[in-house]
Amino acid sequence: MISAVLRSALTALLCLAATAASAQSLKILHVTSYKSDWAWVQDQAKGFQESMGDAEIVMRTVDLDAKHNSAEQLKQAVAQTIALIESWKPDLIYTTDDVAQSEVAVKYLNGPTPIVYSGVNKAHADYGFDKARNVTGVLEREHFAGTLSLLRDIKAAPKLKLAIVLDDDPTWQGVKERINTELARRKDVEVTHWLQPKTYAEYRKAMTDLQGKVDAVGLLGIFRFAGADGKFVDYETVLKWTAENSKLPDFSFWDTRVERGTLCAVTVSGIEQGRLAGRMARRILVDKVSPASITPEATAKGRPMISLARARKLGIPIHATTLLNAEVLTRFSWDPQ
Amino acid sequence: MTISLPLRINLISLVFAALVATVLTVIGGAFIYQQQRQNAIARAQIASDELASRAERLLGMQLRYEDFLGFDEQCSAVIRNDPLLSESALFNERGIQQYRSNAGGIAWPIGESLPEPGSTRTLTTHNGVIVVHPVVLGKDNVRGYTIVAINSETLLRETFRPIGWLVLSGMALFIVGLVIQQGIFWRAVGRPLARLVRTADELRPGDPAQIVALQQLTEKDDIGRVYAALARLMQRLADARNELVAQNTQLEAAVRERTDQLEKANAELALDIERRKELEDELRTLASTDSLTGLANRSFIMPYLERRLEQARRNYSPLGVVILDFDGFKNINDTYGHAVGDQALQIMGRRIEQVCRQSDVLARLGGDEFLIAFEAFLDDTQAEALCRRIIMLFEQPLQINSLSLKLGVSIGVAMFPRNGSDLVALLTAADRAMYQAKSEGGGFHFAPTSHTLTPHVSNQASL
Repeated sequence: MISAVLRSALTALLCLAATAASAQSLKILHVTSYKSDWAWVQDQAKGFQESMGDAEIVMRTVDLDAKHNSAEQLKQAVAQTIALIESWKPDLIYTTDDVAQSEVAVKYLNGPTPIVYSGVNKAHADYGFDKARNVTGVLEREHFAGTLSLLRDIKAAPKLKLAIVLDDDPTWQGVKERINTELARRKDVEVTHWLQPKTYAEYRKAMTDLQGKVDAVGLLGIFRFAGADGKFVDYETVLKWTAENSKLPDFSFWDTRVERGTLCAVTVSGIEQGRLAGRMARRILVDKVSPASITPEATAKGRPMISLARARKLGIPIHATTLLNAEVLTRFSWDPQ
Repeated sequence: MTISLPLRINLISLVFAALVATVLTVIGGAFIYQQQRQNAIARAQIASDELASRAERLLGMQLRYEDFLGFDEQCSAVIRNDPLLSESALFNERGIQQYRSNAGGIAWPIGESLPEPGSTRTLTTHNGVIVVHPVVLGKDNVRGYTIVAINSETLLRETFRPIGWLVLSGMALFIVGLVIQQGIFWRAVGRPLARLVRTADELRPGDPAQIVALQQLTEKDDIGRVYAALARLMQRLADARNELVAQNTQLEAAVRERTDQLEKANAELALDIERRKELEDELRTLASTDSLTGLANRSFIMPYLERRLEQARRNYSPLGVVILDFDGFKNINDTYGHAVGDQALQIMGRRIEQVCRQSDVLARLGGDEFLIAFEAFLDDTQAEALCRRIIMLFEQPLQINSLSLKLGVSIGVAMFPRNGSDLVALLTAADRAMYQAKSEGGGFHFAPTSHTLTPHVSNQASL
């Protein structure tokens, strides 16, 4: 009896302490569009926490896993996320990549909880953020021109003929539009093929057919190619197949792609976006600055990356200056350490 | 060409300043050269380190040297925009050049001690100064070396450029300084000096007003001291001049006094000489003259007759001797006194002298005895005529003190060589002839030839 009383008292004390700690710490909910074990997501989270510095925060993460979940699964994940927001009542919601914006952030526009985003490919206004006083964040802007320049250093040609592959994720529509805008004012490059295969088999066939027809291939969306079992094939599998079978130089805009065999990219940095988003969150939570006063920013700094392993496989010699100006990966991610 | 003092001072100071500036420039140049060299070495170290770092990065990508596509550009890039570095190159671990910035490349430093991993080495080779940096893969796996050479020409140029500007600026400053300094020197030295020279030129000895004027120039600088010294000099000159004038005055007075004394002494001396001459003449006269009659005396006539005889003997010329002795003179002396007798002798002496020829010599031998030496006569008639004229003189009475007195005379005549060949013989003959005449009551008598008279000559001569 006595022990039961003591246990009850101790539990009550712990609950009070937890409540007090919870009350003192800043509660941040990180809603990811993908999975938190993905390097891209981890980079953003890491950068965000770095910028929060010594502020006491309690951070929880919710994955929507849009690249793997079906529509139903995604709907359930979104519902769970909303439930958590309602129950936990975070001080700030950090939403990364486009699905988290379209599925979660848009539901809290002009709400009491501030929202900071990063990795958003669409425009700020596309989600109605321009009319919300509680939303700001970091727009992800791929370095198409820089990547083309890097590609030209590796694959010299008077006029580059390109093919660009993308899946059915609406995220890529904004990217496609920006690429077309850039292409419209350039004469040294031409996209002859916009490919959007539905399945992994279609992708392989399309890639096989492209050999010798274009100078290089741009790999945008490669997450939603259905395999034989109906599930989306893992992007690493896609890229490994590409590295082993394609003789065309390819490019992308993310370091995770280059790590997995894409020849080159001027990457958008997940960690840089996370850091910038973290600085915005700190100003809101610590400095008590209104999100409406913080102008959304686009990532400006790109990081040239070259997969020398892929270059060797393609038999492309790369100028020393190009190599020295880039982050060079000499092995594939699947190679043994 | 004369250079003014201010300009001389200016030029000397300029030369001295130029010397100091030259020494400082040389020292500064050496310092700047060392600084530039150290700077160049530091830059070369950075460049070689950077080049090695790039090579290491490429090696880290598992590239071989032959896969370093376009690494020449990297060699050029690390020294680009750095004129102090001339070239750079990448060598493999065996010293074979792989890439280089320039066409010529750098010679591998054979025999030199190469740097260990993590360090650089600066070497001076026959091609100049180079910096060697190892290319290390991992911890100590030396895979090659980067070498960066220092541009010696640029190093010298970078050294001489500031020195050149320094020298040009210095020269410009010197010129400006020269002009300014010349102006200052002219005001401080030249003008006062010119004034001093002008003042010195216008100085007139013995002008006290100028001394006062000089003393009133009271500048406290060197020129002022020169004025003061000049004033003191003028004062000393004036004092010396005054003293000299005083001494001259005293000297002139002394000379004048001395001259007067000398003139006086000379006059006295001349007077003495005159007196002595007169005395000598008087003495001579007294010695050869009879003091009573003024005629030659015995002392004179005897030597004279000796000389005349000698002369007559050489010339074979005639010489006559006449001896006169007054008759009745003793009575006058005894009767009227010696004074009358003396006057009678004087009167008769003057009368006899008047009848003698210019060439004849009349002497008083003593008492009332006279002698006439005569020569240049043709025969005895001339002597006889003389005797007669003398006798006629005695015929005229003597008027003495209202007395009229009468004297007679006895005359003896002797002829040379007829009456004697020497003086004694001749006088003896004349004396005997006179006594002959006296014995005959006066008149004259010629001496007979000498052989008849020879026994009486000595007696008479002793008289």
